[in-house]
Amino acid sequence: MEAILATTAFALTAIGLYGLLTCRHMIRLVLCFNILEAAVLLAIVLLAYRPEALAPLVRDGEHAYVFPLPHALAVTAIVIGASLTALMLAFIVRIYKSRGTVYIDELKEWRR
Amino acid sequence: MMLNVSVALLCAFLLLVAVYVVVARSVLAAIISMGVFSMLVTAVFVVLRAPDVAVTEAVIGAGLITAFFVIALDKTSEQ
Amino acid sequence: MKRTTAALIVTVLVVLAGFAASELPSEAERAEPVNHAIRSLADTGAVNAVSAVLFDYRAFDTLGEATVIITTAMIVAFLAPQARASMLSVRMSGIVLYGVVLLLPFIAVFGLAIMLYGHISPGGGFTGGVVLSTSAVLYAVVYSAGGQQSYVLAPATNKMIENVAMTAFLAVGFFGMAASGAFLANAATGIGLGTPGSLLSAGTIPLLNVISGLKVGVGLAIIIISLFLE
Repeated sequence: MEAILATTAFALTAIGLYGLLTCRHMIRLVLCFNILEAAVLLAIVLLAYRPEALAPLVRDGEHAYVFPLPHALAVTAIVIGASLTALMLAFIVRIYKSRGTVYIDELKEWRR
Repeated sequence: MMLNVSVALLCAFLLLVAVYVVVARSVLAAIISMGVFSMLVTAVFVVLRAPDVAVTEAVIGAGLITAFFVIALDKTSEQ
Repeated sequence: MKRTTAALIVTVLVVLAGFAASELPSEAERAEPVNHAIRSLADTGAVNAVSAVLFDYRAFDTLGEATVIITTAMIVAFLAPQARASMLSVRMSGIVLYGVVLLLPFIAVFGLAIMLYGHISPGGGFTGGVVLSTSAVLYAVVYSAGGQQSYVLAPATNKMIENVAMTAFLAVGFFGMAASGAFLANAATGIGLGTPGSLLSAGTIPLLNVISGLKVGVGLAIIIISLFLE
């Protein structure tokens, strides 16, 4: 199962990177950025997984529990990623208001 | 064995939705697929025994981020 | 960029990363995991080990994250022109208008429950705060029809709550410093950790959960309202 999920995270990274390189619409670029972020989170959480361990809600001292630090990192990364997405979208709306386009290749000549 | 098969199916669907987000013709369809993608990632997190990450991803990825994108799309497509 | 060029770049990256992945330690070579989660129950009294990491061991990083969100809210609010602001122009039907009013109390209770039970069940301050800010999205989307501006809380109240919560977070940190010499100390300050699993346990963790939840919720609400007004 770890091999399947690691391959998935890897393929998601490739898909997100391909989208970042080929898409022209700026909102779609932000979507590809979110796919990349999900792939990285998947890899981080996969590091903590052990097949015999339980979820990190400690009931007693007898069972094994997964390592909680990658989970805490992932929660932090998700919340910061949300505010980062909001910031990028705000800038995209600003660019649309001043330049009248959302396509990134029409912004090459950075003049009025 | 059963878990392996279901996780493989889940991952295949995840990759399919991710490819659709990149290649979809309409941006609105891509945004809504991004919500589906977040819900599938949430399911993977539950399988990986990370309930905190799953709850956060469900609330933010499928709820809040979709609203952000739809608002931004509405603001950038008015003429 | 041309599709073929992009595909070539991604393929090269995949091949390189495949070589790197073959060098990773296999399952047998991995070190035996130490059971850190059990120790965190003894250290902090929190059943949820992720909460223990977020609000006790690495609470200072959480303070930094809260600073990131307040900075983002400031930037986005600065970008939005307040004077000639207009919201969405879609008109909603009566079913949506009344349905949202019925839904808002449930959303608020759900968010507060996730916040308050963050140390004994999955969830925590951030998740609860985001649920609370979802109500701001819903209200602003539905009731801003025809260009009028409507909020669950007035923008000035939002900013006031954000400032008060930031100050309260710092105050808890300085309390730990005064009591035991370490910023944001929890068990070392001498407050009882309580019975694991009860609502009032784990020292300052529930307090920090509620504070950071209010802060994150209000900060994201400011960001959303500013995106609307953009």
